[in-house]
Amino acid sequence: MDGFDVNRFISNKKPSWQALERLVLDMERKPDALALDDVKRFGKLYRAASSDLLIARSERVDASIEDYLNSLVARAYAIVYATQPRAPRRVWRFLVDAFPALVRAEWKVIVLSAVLLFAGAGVGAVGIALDPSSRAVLIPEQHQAFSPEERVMRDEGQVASAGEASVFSAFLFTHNIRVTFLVFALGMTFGIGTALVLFYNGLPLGALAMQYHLAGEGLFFWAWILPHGIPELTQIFIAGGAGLMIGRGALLPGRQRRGRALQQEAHKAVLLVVGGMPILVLAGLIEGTISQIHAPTLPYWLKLVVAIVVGACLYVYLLRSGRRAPSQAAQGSLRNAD
Amino acid sequence: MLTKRPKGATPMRELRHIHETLAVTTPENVTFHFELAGPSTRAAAWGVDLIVMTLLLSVSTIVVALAGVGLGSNAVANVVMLVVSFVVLWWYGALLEWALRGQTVGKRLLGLRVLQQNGLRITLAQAVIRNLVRMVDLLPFSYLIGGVSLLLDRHRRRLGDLAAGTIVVQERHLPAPSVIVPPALRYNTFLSDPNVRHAARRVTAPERDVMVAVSLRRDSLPLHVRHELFEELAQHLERRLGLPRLAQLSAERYVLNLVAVVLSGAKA
Repeated sequence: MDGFDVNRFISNKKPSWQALERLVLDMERKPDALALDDVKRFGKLYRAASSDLLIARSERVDASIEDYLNSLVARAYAIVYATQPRAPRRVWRFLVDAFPALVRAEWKVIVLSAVLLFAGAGVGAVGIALDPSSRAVLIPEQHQAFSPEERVMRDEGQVASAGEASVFSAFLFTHNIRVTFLVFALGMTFGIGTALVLFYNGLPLGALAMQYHLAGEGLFFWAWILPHGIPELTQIFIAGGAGLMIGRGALLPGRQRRGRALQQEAHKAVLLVVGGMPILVLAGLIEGTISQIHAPTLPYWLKLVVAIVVGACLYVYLLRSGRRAPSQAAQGSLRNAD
Repeated sequence: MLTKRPKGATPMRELRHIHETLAVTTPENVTFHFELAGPSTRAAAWGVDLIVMTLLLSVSTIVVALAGVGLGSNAVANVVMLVVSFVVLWWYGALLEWALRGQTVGKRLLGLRVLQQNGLRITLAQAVIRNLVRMVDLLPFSYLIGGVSLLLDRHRRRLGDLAAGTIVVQERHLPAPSVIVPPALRYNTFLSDPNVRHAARRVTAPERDVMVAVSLRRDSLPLHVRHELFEELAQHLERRLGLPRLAQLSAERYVLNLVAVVLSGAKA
């Protein structure tokens, strides 16, 4: 501190520090409501405070001054170098262009997650075919109360009220979105958790399919599952792929630092999970309504047609939409990610 | 009963060896430090958030149920409730941290903030990632994985922070340091007194540092602490320097005047 006049330093600079403090507060509260003059002044004051921090540090002045300037500069810095905030208009463009483009770009992990789920389904189906009593383990409890024949007898011709159907739909899509969140988050277990959940979710699917086929109720089963199953499973695959991407970033960082690779993968992966939520809402609405209405009210062939149309629309969207400017669209929505 | 803790009682430089900090260098080549939040503060913030979420859910349950009775439709009420609870349970953290510049209610209460690793405001994508991965941090029970990650990582990040590239910092709004000799009281008779100037040379470096430290912080100290500190310091200096304090001079003014002499002596 020798030769350095702390007193003069504080009394000269304090007014401009406090002016910056006030501007920081204003900016934090209402970022858009600042006059041009204030913005210019802000830049000057910020640079002045930065150099004062350097002076305070090199002159070894009392810690209270350095710490005060430290926190002031940190707060001002976050405002000076602020990233672009919200842009709700981009949500639509993201859904139309960037999401399907990203799905296409990451098709390998998505196919891998489908393979994992179908592997589970295969094991489930083979298990039931070899030993029908294994349904106690393979099939969820709520489906064990009835044999396929009993279920068909009970459900055919029965129509739920609109109220019941909408509650069931809402339950289904919130539940399914939670499942996609889970497979995404489990990517942090190097993808192992994601792979296990995918496989495990395949088991009852295969087991139920085999059970209904063996009972000769295959048509009922597919007309029941397919209308909602195509979009629902598709999004589960996409989210599973997102989880595997995180695992990939953590396990195989390539030339990058591991943390950096992980963060880049996570930023792409989260778009796959969030962008697919509308698909699950659609699937839930179909599952709560069309899927639960059986022949004779709704003939099976018609339900299968619905399934094909829904599936075709979904895959045209995923494979075609946003093709014209895919790289641009993907960059546009990812710019904030860095 | 509650003595208000003086703001800035744990400044960064003094406690840099106790608190974990993260250094950020700006494009102007100025380095500043963030104090990283510890597990206990973060757990407390999470506790507050749990209470807020519970309140939100119970209030909306009541409102929606009443509305459902009013409309005569249970189904609508059920659908709305399913969606509301989904939003509260899964989007509370992400949406608040995005909208409130890195803070939830609990974080705001405890002075915590989520920032990008480079000190900037977090993006929506980062808020969503760190709040979705929370699911894994909570495993197998009560934040075991997240807690272990927090303790092992040098930037105090749980898995969600690792994936999103975020840190959680403890914010302290430090008061501006006080001017040692306010301009209006510049007519410091000590300055022209040769006796005093002579005695001031005998002030040791540690004594000078204490005098400066107390003087700079005086406006942010609680009154009784301020009074005690200056009283003690004045008595010590009177004894050490053999400079009696005049009756009309308060302990604080006595110390401040001496600091001014000491600092101006250093300059001369």
